[in-house]
Amino acid sequence: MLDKKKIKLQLFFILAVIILSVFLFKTKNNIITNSWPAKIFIKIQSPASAFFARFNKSFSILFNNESAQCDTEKIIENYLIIHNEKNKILIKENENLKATVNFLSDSGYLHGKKDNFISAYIISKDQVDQSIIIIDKGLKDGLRAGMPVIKDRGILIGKIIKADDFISYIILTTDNRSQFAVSINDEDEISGLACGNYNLTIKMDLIPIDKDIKKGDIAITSGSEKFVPHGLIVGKIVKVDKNDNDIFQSAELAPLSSMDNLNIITILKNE
Amino acid sequence: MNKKIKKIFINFLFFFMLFIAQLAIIANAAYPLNRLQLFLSLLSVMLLFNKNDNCIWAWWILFAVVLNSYSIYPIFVIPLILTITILISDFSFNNFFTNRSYYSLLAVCFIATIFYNIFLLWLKHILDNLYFQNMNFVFDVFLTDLLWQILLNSFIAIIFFAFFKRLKYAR
Repeated sequence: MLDKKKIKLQLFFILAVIILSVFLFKTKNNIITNSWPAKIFIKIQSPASAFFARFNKSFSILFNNESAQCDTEKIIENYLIIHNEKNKILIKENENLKATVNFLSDSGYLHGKKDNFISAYIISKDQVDQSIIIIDKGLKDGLRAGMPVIKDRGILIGKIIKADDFISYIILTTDNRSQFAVSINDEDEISGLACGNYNLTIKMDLIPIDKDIKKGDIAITSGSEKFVPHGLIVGKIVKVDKNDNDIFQSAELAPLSSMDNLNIITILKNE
Repeated sequence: MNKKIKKIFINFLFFFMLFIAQLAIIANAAYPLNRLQLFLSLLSVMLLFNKNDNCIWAWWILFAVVLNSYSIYPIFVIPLILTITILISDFSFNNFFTNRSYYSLLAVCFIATIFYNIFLLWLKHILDNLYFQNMNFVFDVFLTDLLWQILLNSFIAIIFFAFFKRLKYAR
């Protein structure tokens, strides 16, 4: 049997939760993530998260290594493997950043149009839905909901769905809840709507039946959305669903870049 | 008075470290380690040890509010679900597994993880339909994630339980 005091206290806590939730739900801005302690926390967290992400990558490589034994030589060998993998990860990160810089330079983002892009660290994941990622830049850095997120040479990986003062939330292109206006092979006539397919692939619907599309064609953003420029690579067609009785056909796209182990990403600020 | 301030400080430090671990370390870990919900493991251990400390539940709710602020979902989601999870786990522990053993711990941890995930999925389903009109849900993935989470949570809970037990007997 529960005693009366405990029941009273539990009821008090439930009531406190309801009042607190209603109060915080009613306030327009997220007062916790927009506060100055949160800013300090994010400043500390972003390099820490980057460190842990790199550590996890190199650790998982060691974990998969079958020769993990306990003698000294093996420990040294494993240390060297970790060190080597850390270097490889840094080189890969560097290559990705170089590719992004090349893309930005070619697209005119670097010359003339200053402050039209921003790089950000991935600091965490949404605690309710782990498929949404959190970055360390927000409204104060000029980010807005709807801005596209890219990596490498202009490969679209998602868009911002919410921006707080110091952090932003990104939904990936493979997520069911993300939608993009796309065209195939840069032809304005072949355009459609791409949306995620259970965090695995991208589905493109509403393509007119008379348009000729085939496996291997590249889908790019059409540029008809606010903030999203024309020409960002969305994916490659891996399957075409065509039925002569329908008005539209659909296609399945595979992203050109892996969505796992993201560390640094770039956001385009086309206002 | 000093003892009270010391206790508040210790609680604050504990929940801050838990918050950092959950948000910065576990969230960035590789699969399936990122499925671990460290706070559910600790909650199960605390349910067995802190029976008379009612203040700790207020800290848990505050922790849930701060954790939920790093989410696009409304601020009441995690606090509400965590409150329900605490109530159900506490009720089941008081009525079905009254002794402080490893079996009780595993049962409480299992119940807490199952209820937390099911309620979270249910509330997320409602909110996704309200905000996005689309849901990112695959039953097989959910089930695999849940199994990994139960395994990892139970493993961590056993470690903490052994540590707390040793600490308690050492006193």
